[in-house]
Amino acid sequence: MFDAERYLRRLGEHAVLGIDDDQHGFGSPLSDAATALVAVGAIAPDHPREVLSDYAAARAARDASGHFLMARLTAGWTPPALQRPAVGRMVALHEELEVAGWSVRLRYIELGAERTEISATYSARDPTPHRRMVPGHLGIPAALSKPTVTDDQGTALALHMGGGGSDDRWDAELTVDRPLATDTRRIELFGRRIELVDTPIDVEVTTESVDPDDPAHRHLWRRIAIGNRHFGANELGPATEALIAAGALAADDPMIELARLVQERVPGGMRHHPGSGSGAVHNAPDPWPSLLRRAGRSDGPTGMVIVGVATPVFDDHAAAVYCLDSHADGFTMLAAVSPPDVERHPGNLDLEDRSLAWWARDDRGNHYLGTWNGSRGDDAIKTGTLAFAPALDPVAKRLEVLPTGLHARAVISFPLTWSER
Amino acid sequence: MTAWWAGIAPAEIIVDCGEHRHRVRWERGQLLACDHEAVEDERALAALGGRPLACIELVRAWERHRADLRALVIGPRGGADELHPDPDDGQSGVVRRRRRRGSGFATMVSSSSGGAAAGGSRFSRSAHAESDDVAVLTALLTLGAGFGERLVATVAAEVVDRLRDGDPLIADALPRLDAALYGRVLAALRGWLGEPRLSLELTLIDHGAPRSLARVDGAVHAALPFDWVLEVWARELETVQGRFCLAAETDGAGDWQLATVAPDLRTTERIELRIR
Repeated sequence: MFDAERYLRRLGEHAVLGIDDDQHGFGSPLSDAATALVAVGAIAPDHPREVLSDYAAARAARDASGHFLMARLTAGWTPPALQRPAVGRMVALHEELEVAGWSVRLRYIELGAERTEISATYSARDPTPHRRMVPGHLGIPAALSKPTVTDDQGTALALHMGGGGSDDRWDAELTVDRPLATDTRRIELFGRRIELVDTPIDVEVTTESVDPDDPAHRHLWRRIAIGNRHFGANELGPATEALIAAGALAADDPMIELARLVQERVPGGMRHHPGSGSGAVHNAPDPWPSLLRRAGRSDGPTGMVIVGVATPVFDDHAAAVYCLDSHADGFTMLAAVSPPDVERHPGNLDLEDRSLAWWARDDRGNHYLGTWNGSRGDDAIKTGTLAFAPALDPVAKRLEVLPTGLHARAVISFPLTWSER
Repeated sequence: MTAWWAGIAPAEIIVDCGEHRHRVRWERGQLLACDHEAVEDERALAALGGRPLACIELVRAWERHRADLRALVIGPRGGADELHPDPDDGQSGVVRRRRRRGSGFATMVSSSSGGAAAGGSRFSRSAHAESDDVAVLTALLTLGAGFGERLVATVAAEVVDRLRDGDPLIADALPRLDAALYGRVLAALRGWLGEPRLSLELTLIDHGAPRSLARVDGAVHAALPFDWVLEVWARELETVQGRFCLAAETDGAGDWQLATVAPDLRTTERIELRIR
C-alpha cells in the first residue's frame, strides 16, 4: 500500500544527500511531489507541509539556500484570504510631452475610491552613461519622479513613482497617498491640462465551470500552465513520478510523454523550441494545440487596450484586468487576483494547487497563456503584470481572458480596440 | 542487557561559559558539564543572577531534545554528508550562528520555548516557537566533535526502546523512522559501492526479522530494521574491512560480532571486533 508521507520523506532524503540536485533548476522535487500527491488526494495538505518543514531544516543545516527555505517554511502558513480587487474609473490619456530632457508618454489614469494611479513611460532623449549621477529617483529627475497632479476641484497632490525600467527608460506607476476626485473631468500634470474623456468599451464578464478531468492529468496540465517557465520550475519529473508511485497515473500513460512534449514547446519557456509548431503534439487536449500553433511568431500588433473590469467570485477567487499592452512578440496584462496566485519556488507551501491558470483566446480560435512577470501585493491581493505568449494574432478583433481555477473560470471578453498604437 | 551506548566513543567539546572555557563531555549516553559540580544549584543561581551558563543550558537543551525525532531528519547521515550552517546567518532568527565551541549557546537556548515533543512538532505550533526550537536542535546537531551523531544515536535509542515496548504512538512516526534509516543506508551504500546514483529499495523490517542486502535488476534491495541506525550507523560500523555491516552484536564486554556482506552483495561473512 502506498504511503505518501514515506514517499515524500524518502524524496527528502535524496535532497539532503544532494541526489539529482542538478536536474531541477529552481524547482523543488519535494514540493512538486507533495503538490501532486495532494492534488490526487493521496495525502492531506498538512502532512506534507510538516515534511517540507523538516527537510528545509535539514537543508538549512547544510547549505545557505536551506536558510531561505527554512525562513519560508517556519514562518508559518495560513490559508489565503479572498478580497475582491478594486477597479476604479480608467481613462486613456493619449498625451506625449517633454519634461527635463525626457519624453513622457502618459498612458492612462485609474481613479479609484481609495487610490489614484497614473501609468506613464519615460524615455531619455539624450541617453548618457552618467545619468545615475543625476539627483532623483534612480537617476530620473525629481520633476519626473515627484510630480504634482491636480484635479478639477483644485486638489493638488504629490505623486510617488514606482515601476521598473533602465537608465534610459522607465515604466512609471505614479500614485498618490489619497485619491483624487473620481469624477474629475480633467487633471493638470507636468504643467499641462489634460481632459479626461471616458471611452467605455464593450466588456463582458461571465463565469463558467471547468470540465472535470482525471485529477492526475489535470494536475500535470495545470503544472505546465502555471509553472514558472523561466527557471525550470515546471519540471514535470517529480510530479509524474509521485503520481505513478501513488497509482494515480499509469507508468505507460501516453499523456506523460504528450505533456513532456507540450512542456518543451510552450511559448516563453526556457526550453522552448521556436517554430517547432504543434505537429508533434496535435493529440494534446484542448486548448494546447491552438496555443502552440502560433508559437514563435513576431507579428503581434502594437498598442494598448484599457479594460478596467473585475470579475465576480469564481472558484473561490476574484480577479481584475486593467490594461492590455501588445507588442510584436506577445502581450502583457496588468491584472490582480485574490487570493494571490503562488509562483512556484522551493519555499512554496500552497500545496493545494489554488493558483489560477491565465489563459486567453481570441475570436480566431487562437489560445494564449500568461504567467506572472513582476507583481506586488499583500496576503489578500496580488497585482502585477502577466506576460502572455505567443504574439496576438494581428487579425484578431476580440479577446477573452480566462483566469482558470480547478473547477471554474471567469471569461473576460473585450474588443481589441487600440487606444494607443 | 547491553547498554545502547556500548561501543560509541566518548567525545568532548570546549564551551565558553561565562568568563571561563569549560568542557562538555558525552560519555556512556549522557552529556556532562564537566566543570560544574552541582548543576541544578548552579542553574538556580544563574537564573537568579539573570545570566545563563552555557554548559548547563547546553546539557538542558540536550535533555529536551533527546527524544526529538526531528534530530533524525536534520542530523548527519554519515559518509560525505556534512552539516554546515551558514556562519554569517543569524539575521533571520531562524538558524543562528554556528557555535563550534558553544559560545553564546546559553543565550540561544534560554530564549527558546523548550519542551520538544517526542513525536516532533506539529505544523500548527507558533512560528517563532517552532523556529527557535529548530534553531536549538540544529545548534546541538552542529556542535562538532561527533556530538551531532551522538544526539542522533540518543534519539535512535529512545525510538528502539519504544518500538520494543510496542508504544502505539510510535506508529505515527514510522514514515520518519523509515526515512531516517533509508537516508543513512543510502549514504553508506553510495560511498561503499561508489555509485552516486545508486537506487535503493528498502524494506523496513521488525527487530529480529532476517536482514538482507542484494542486487535485483540493478537496484540494491535491503531489508533492515530501524535498529540498524543505533546498532550499526551510530557506531560507525556501516562498512568494515570493505564489507557492509547488516548487524552488530556485543557481549557487553567489548567483543563484537558483525554480520557483513561483501561488495558482490552475495557473500556474507562474520567479523569479530574487540575493543579493549
